[in-house]
Amino acid sequence: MVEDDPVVAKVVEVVLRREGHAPTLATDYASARTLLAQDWDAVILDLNLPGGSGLDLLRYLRKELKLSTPVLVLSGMKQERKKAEALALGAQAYLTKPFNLGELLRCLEEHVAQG
Amino acid sequence: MWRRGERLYALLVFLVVALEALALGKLVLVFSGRLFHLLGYPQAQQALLEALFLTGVALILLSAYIPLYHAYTKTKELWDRKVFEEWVSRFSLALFGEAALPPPPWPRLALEALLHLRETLEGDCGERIEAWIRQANPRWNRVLKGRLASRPARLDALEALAQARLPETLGLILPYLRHPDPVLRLAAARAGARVAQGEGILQLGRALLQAGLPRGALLEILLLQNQATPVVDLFLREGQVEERWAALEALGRLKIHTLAVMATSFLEDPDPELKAAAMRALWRLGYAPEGYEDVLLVSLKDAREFLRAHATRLLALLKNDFARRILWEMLSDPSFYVRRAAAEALGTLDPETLREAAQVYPDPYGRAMAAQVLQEASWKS
Repeated sequence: MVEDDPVVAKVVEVVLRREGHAPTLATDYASARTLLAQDWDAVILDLNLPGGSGLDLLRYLRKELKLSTPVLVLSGMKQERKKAEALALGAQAYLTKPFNLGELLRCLEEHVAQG
Repeated sequence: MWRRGERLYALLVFLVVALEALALGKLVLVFSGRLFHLLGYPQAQQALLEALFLTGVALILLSAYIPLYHAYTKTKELWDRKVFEEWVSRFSLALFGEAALPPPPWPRLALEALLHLRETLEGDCGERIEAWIRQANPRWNRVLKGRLASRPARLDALEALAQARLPETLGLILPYLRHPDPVLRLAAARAGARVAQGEGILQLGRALLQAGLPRGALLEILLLQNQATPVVDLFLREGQVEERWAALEALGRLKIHTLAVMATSFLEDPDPELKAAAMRALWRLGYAPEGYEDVLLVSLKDAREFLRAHATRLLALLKNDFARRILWEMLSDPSFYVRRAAAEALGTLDPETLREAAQVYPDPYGRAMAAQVLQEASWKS
């Protein structure tokens, strides 16, 4: 999970652990870029990060690392343009904050199963 | 306005100045006594040493305050963050039934954690957090209705109300839209936009009509609302220029297609800003103002280039020969922005005509603009 907001990170971590997953947290662009090269079941990605943009991370994951890891964008940005950009770059879903935890889990399970 | 830590610093400076004044007064007395041979040399020496000591202490106090204050603040921030995150964990665990909810009353940082959770989550979890915030029974009422609360305290309370989004608190917010302090009025409007639901949306809209906020602030409020359509409608019908401008801008940005017909009525408004806002709104909606060709012609001949540019851009939506002919003519407009709008509109409406303009248009500036827009389109594709 790439998320700089401690509240979002904690809530998502608690719910993922409860569902039997083992999330790893990156709180900024640089650490996320390093971690992305590893093999993950899925990535939950914020767009506004200290040190860079989540969209650049997504571009890096798809174009440079050429990985097809499912990516769920979880962002406060509600503009359609951002959503379209993220989906065009290869994100599987785009959820906006405030978000519904049930919907996040459903999306995650669906795309992990597909992946 | 005093910032945190400044009161203590002011008190310290006052104390130092008072001590220095005392020391100086004593020195004047002792040296005068010495001048008239009433006091001996040892007393004068002792007074001088005391004054020097006091000055040294004062300088140390003043110099030490700032680094000490920063060290204290940093430590407190770290501690507060730790406690805040602990409360987020406790509430998160309680939310999923993995731990019992700590019994209230909860400290300030626990309430902050709850408010952040409320901002983060919706659905079942959001509703449970909403119930917990009610259970915490924060003292916003006392702060906002009391006479003694400072401006920062009131701003904090309004911000907390915005985060909590409890519909029943709208009654606390609305009176602040008539507050003489514009900063509080704006904070109340922002809070109201987040809190208002159901009938409260129009209540807020009516209060905003009386709030005297500038157009930019009104637009921000409309964009913040989850259901802005009733307020946009109200502003267009009953607002003055500021509210109508904000409503037209919001209408286009939020893509409120149901109010497109209302926007067309502002194409003839005597206020040029409203006229331009209406054209922008229709362009954003992609709504062709059919039947308004004559009105657009008036704007196309206006001396103000922003009106000509907006009207030119809007012509592309008409998709008829009239629009094609006028756009061709507008390519020779003296304004760069109008020529640009004409070339872009022509590119959308009829790329073949734009290609022709790039080769044979009589005005060299129009020809160059057509060529530039064509080239940019080829780069993008």
